[in-house]
Amino acid sequence: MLSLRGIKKRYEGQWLLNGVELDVSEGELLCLLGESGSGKSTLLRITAGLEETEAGRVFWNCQDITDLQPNERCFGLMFQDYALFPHRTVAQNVAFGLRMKGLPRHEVEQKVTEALKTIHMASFADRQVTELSGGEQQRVALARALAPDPHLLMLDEPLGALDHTLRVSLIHELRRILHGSGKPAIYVTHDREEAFAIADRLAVLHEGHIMQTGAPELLFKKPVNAWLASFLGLGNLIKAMSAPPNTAAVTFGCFTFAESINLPEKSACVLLFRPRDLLINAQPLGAVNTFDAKVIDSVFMGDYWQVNLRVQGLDLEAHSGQSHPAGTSVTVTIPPEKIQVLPQ
Amino acid sequence: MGPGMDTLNAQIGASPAKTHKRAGWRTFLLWVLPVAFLLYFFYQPLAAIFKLVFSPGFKAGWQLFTPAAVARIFFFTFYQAALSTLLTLLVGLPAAYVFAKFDFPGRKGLNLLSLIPFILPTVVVASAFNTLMGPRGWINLGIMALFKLSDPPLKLLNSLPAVLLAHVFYNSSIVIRMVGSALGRLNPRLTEAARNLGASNRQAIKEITFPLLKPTVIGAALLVFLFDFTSFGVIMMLGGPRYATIEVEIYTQTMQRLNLPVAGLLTLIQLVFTLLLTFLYNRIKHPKYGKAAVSSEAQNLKKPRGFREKALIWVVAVVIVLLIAMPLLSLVSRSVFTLDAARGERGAVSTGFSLRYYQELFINRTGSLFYIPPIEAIRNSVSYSLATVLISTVIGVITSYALANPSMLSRHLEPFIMLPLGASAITLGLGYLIVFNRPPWNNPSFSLLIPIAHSLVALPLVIRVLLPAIRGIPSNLRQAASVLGANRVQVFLQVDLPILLRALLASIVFAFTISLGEFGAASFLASPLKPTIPVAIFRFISQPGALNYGQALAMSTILMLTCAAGTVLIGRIRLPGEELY
Repeated sequence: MLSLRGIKKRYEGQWLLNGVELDVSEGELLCLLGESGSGKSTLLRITAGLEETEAGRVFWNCQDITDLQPNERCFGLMFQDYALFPHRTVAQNVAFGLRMKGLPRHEVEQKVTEALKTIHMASFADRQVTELSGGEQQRVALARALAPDPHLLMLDEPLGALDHTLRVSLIHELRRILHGSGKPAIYVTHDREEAFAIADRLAVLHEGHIMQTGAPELLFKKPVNAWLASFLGLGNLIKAMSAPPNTAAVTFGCFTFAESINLPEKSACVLLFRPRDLLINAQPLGAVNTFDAKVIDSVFMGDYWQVNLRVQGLDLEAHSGQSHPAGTSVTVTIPPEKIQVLPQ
Repeated sequence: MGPGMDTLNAQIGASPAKTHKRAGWRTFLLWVLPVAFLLYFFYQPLAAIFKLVFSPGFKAGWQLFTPAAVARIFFFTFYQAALSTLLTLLVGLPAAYVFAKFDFPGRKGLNLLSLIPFILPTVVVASAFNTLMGPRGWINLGIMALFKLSDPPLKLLNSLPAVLLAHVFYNSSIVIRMVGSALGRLNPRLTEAARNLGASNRQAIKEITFPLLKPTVIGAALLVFLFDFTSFGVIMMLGGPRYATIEVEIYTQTMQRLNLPVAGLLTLIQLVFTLLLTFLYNRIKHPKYGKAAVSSEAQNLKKPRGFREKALIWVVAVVIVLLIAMPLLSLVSRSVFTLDAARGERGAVSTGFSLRYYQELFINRTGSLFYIPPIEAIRNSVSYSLATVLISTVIGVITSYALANPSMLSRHLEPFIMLPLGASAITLGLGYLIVFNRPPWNNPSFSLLIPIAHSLVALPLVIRVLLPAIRGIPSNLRQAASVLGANRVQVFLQVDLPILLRALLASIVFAFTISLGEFGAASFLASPLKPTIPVAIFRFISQPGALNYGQALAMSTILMLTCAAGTVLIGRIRLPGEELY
């Protein structure tokens, strides 16, 4: 398994990676999530040996491989722009890694045929890669990375260069191939839905280190802080002042929650109101956690209506089973057990 | 601007919505002037050379010149060009690699230095090597002073090595520029992908970098070979009579033996061969995967590490300084140092730093009828250059607009336009001597033939600068302007002209400097009383006397600085996405 310990790298004088710790276990598909420019690709390149780390070590099965050349690591990397060799055919691209391993020709040919079958491109073997569409190039790049049977596979925004429709159809094929290969893999993306769709485990890279790691469900349910909740698009984030044990004040009222919080009196925190937990004109449970808001508009989203609300200059989003006319006043309620309190 | 402007305005104002018939008519009008110009000033002389070769007088010419001699000259030309190309690659390729890959102190200055030679006129290069290796050059002067000799001990000029050295000096900048830029733009992910797939550093170079660069390297080599094959001024001034190439022999047969049929035959051989090379060059230059291998990212320079990388940079730096900086410094320094007495001067001469050679440019000292003071040559050259700018800009703008306009006519006429671009100045010179040896063309006070020949030489560069700029003007800008009420003239003045201004300025500077330094055609066409600067330098440098030598060097230095200033100017103008090769 792969272990990154204290990886550091500067970019234009700033710490891009500031002591990154990350592990990938046997057969695990880890999704490395982060904003563009957060250093995800650099971390992959350091793991692949294409860039040097300024501090820290890279281990594979407890062996320090930090100083090994890229060709000595046996890690597959699929580049964001695929980096297919333009002077080689599809088959020659896939064969490259096998040839470098020194396999006999017939074995190379046999494995190339197998690899092309896996990606349903057996008939493309003799085509020039420059003639392929974006989706076809992506699949060839994947086959090329997988063909030499690497210990670990790394994919740098593999769907980033494709349009939305193609991404949706390819993500499931990618999932099938990656899980089918049984290899540990690191999948880099900035797209949350892509990450949720493919990952066994997520790791979010922010400000030079891993902010949180865990199963997609864990990150979804229990984000460690407001930035992460915002990055994952979990819902309305409202600045609040804590009033322990289990209340907090915001500009439009005071809210009570089920869990008691571990914060000192009057410290700044953020409340997370998920849109589907905001109940509009529902029977109030006593008078707790209820406030008045004005409807800005209602947008039909298929399974629900997205109701945009304004309360004291603050915009909130709620999901409702029905439309509410713009300009009307409504009463909004949130059950105490649905509120999450996050550090800023 | 010129006579062609009306048709030009008519053309660019034509909106796509107009009927095909009218658009065709306009395109036709646009082609009239360039085609007429080329027919009269290129194809007519070429036809005359053909006619001459197959004329009855040809037999008489052959008695003085055997087929074996033709073969010998051809093979020597080929041999020296091949050898020069090989040496140029030997110097240029490592330098291109160093400039494209490494970041080191002095990189920019060294890179700039390596690109200077390409813009220098041949006579300047030849003079520079003369001041270094000639009988009156620094090396011989140094040895003479050291061992108290009265005669220069080393005969370095008039030898094959001198020619090879000058060719390498001249053309390594082409290799550095073409291969260096291709290497710099090569997508670094490709070699990284190869490394990741298990290739060692050496395997990655062999499997990825080299195959992807091969077309560029071959293209550069062909271009260098073409320049070496048609080299004239360098061989005239550094090779001497024993090392005649085809071009030099054409000159000798024409100007000294007056054997025009043989000169004509040599011209045809040379033309066929250069066309073949040009054809090959154009075929090789565009590999079909070119775009996929190019990265849009800024090139990633790395600091040299380890002994081998540092040693490579040192070797390249030393070679470039020795090869390029030394001859140029030698020229400048020799032009401001008086070392020996001028002819006719008696007694002790003060030696050391002086601007005497520059002051003497303005003085007609000998008073002989055929002696022309250098300032006259400068005046001639400037007026010829201005005429060249005018002619080449008018023809160049019209031709570029005609080429930019995709039509059947343009497609058929393009080879017709591009053919003259493979022809050498010597071909033009010989053809003009045959065809235009009559009034008003042979007017001794101002030969219009020189700027016309220079315009034909400059036209390829002018078109290469202007055409992409014209093609780059989005047609919806013109359409927007006309929808907003601009007429055709206004569209040209308000949309095209401001966008083209930079390209136009660059092409003007190109045409001016090319004309100023052109030697081949001028050596045929300039009347003895009206020499251009390069012709005067050639004449002065081969005459005895320190003053003549010094004045030739002073003129060379001025020419060099003018061309350098022009290049800096063009660099400042900076055209987006422009490729000059």
